[in-house]
Amino acid sequence: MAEPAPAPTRSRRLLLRSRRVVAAAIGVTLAAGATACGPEGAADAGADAPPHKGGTLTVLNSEPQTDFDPARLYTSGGGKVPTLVFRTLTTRKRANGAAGTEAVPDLATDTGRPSRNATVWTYTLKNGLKFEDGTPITSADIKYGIERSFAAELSGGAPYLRDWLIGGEKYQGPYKDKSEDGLKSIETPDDKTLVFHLKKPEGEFPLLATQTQFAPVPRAKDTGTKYEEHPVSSGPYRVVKNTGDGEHLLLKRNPHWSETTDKERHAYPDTVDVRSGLDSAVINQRLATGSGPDAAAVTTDTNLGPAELARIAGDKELEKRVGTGHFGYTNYLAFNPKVKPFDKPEVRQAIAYAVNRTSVVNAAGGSSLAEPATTFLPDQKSFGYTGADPFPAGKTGNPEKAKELLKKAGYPHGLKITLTHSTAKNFATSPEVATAVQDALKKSGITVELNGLEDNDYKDTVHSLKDEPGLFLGGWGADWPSGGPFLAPIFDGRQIVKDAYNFNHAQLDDPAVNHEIDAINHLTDLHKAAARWGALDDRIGERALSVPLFHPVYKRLHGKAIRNVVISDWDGVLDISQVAVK
Amino acid sequence: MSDTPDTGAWRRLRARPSAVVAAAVLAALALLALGAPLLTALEGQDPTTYHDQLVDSARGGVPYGSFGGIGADHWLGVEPGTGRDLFARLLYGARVSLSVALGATVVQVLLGVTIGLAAGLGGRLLDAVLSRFTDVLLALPMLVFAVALTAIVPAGFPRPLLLILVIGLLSWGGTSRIVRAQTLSLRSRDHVAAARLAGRTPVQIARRELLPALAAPVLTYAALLVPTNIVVEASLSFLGIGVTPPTSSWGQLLSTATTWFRADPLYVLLPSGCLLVTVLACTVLGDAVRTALDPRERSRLAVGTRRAAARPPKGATR
Repeated sequence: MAEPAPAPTRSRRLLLRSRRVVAAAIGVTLAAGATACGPEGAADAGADAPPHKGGTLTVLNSEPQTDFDPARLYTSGGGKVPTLVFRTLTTRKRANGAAGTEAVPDLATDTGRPSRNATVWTYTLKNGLKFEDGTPITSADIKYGIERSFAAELSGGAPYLRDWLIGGEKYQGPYKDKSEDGLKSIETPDDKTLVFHLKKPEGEFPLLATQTQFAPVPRAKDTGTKYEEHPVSSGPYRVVKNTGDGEHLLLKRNPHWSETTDKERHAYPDTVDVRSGLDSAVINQRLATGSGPDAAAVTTDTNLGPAELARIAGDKELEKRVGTGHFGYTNYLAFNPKVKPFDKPEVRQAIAYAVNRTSVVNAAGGSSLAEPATTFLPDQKSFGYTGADPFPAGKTGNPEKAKELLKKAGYPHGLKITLTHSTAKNFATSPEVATAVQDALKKSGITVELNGLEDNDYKDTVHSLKDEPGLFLGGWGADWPSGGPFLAPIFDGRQIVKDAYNFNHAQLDDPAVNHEIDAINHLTDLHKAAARWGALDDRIGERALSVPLFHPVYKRLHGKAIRNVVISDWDGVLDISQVAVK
Repeated sequence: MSDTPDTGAWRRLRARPSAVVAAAVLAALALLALGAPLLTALEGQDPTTYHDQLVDSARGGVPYGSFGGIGADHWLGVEPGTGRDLFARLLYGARVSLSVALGATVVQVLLGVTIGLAAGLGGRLLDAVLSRFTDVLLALPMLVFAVALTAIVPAGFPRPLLLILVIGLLSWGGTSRIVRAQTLSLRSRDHVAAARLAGRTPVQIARRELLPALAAPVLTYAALLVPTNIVVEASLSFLGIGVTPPTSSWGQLLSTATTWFRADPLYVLLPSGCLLVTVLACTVLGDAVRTALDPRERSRLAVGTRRAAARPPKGATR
């Protein structure tokens, strides 16, 4: 689900994943066994047959592909439908597992050349790039595409461009701002070159450049808010039909796309037919049965639930057709230390010790759909995962240690607290998880009262600086696989938002933390940056501002005739540009 | 009068085997619900404790063992995902479901009778106002309104009581209509007219002349309201706005069970079976009460027996 949440400006992944989050941990997953490059290394079912060109790929989804406009899509859309139509300056590497967490060149010849301490990034476009109508793609088209995303009527994208580009906070988009140069911090000295000027060093700019806002849009063909009905394609497919605001999308080959300029997308099928608005049970049933066109069907947004998994577990044929994916996401207990008794570190630590991650994982769908979490950062190398466990609760919690800490905090006879959660049945912030936490804390003498709020009400409450409860179930997902977009929005004191959605739940404003975040953003060597993010996460983790509970794992079915399944750790979803149908 | 209508009704009720069975089933359910703490103590379980080791985490949390983990420790197996004892959750769930249904019925009957009587006995204006109000209430999509109401009430408010109030306050319209119609027809009867001429106040008339006559239809209707209310509670809990976890109710159990119908059928069959049996028993008993209290039914039965006795044996006429 990569469409933006409604009103608030800072609507990040957190809000976008309220859907049934489902996960898995089939031993050493595909991630470990996969080779670094491409489909040939795909360790999934059906890799034995060579990929076949042609045929129709059906996509069965629950969420419609609304706002199919590169300016309005949140982040890159991952391996999902937009990548078939929109090419960007850089893109994710289409490889299984951890190898797929890198950014690689797409329209540009490289992932960007930094200068002046990573505040200036220069890109050169490849030769022979064309739109679906045959006109060449120029640097001005990419600049225009980015400028459009600043227009208020085309909202929905992530806030980074506005935050990072010089003058971004004031720029109103090309419809209001008719000046010759547009957004001055993006220079186009010639048809092939783009230069970005940033306010501060951002070593992760190449990862940002994978987002659809970096897709070219020809100014002459821009129809404003109507552009989403027929966006001009730069990718392997063009939109033939878009009915019901993305409910039914029909994509056919773009004759002007050439594989010679695009190493990442394969585009094996001739046609891609996206059907959405379907019930998740229906999607999984249709994929399992696989009759008619459903045999060549995949889903990019519907996971298997625990009950469905229990049924599939006995069926060898179906088991082979389940793809496992890891997306950088953490579900946690969030504290607001401004609310008593959570101002006392001992109380927060006691809760961290008391948590029973086995029952929490079961509540999230079991060990195939969730992995216990002890760090705030997801358990992947690209995030700088260290495996730290500052308050070792073991598999089922440590009530003795928790009681001891409570005694220290001045609660020798236990404690009564309220846990706020959503009533949505999403296996993440849902009543099941809250009840599992409640039961575990009971053993440590902590009585938990549950405060279940309707999902929208829940989001408004926990993200409001004014109404934020002392303890709630939260979750955070990565905008790209790095510690930056994970730690900065949550723990950077300068990102505390007063009048809109605030994600810094602990309202932490520590100069040392803020300074370290800035220092890491200087780094253009992302491996070094990852190590520093991991270390920062460990330091913040010791303060017990949140209790990491679990990282979800995705389990998704695909049809019998599907070949070449590639699932990267960037988003944990089968990459639709790699799939072939038999 | 030696043969009062009441004792006659009682006798007729007892004479129906279906009514006796239904009543026995309901009594047994009530006993099970009341004895929940005792029975679960006997089993050695409680409704909220998790048993992580009893569910297969890698397979979505389906209980180990056949039939949802039925065994000596867990008489009806355990809940998938949590391993909580199903027998205990069903019994404690019965307490919530039955008390909410009964409580809501009491509220509905009290409100319905009061408003129906006021409309029937009051002036034309009062009648019009109350009747239109009843119409509006009947036309309201009850579930939507209940969802809105439960959402604005502070979290600390006890949920079962809230459910009683929400269901009771939103659906007394049917009772009120029946009572009003009955009152209108009774009002013109001689004994009511006589009471009015004797200077009795409307309240006295309502209490002494009308209520005894209203008892039969109201009781009958109430018996049919109980199962409806159980189902409404179940639907509200199904939508996630019923009882707060970890409290169980049949509706709450059903709402989590629906996806499990293939992987763990017993988990679905148990709460839905309980619901089915209760609703069926209430409906059968309600129908029997209606027939037993109906004076016409009495005469019809009596006539039938006499005729049957008077009729000569079939073979004799030939």
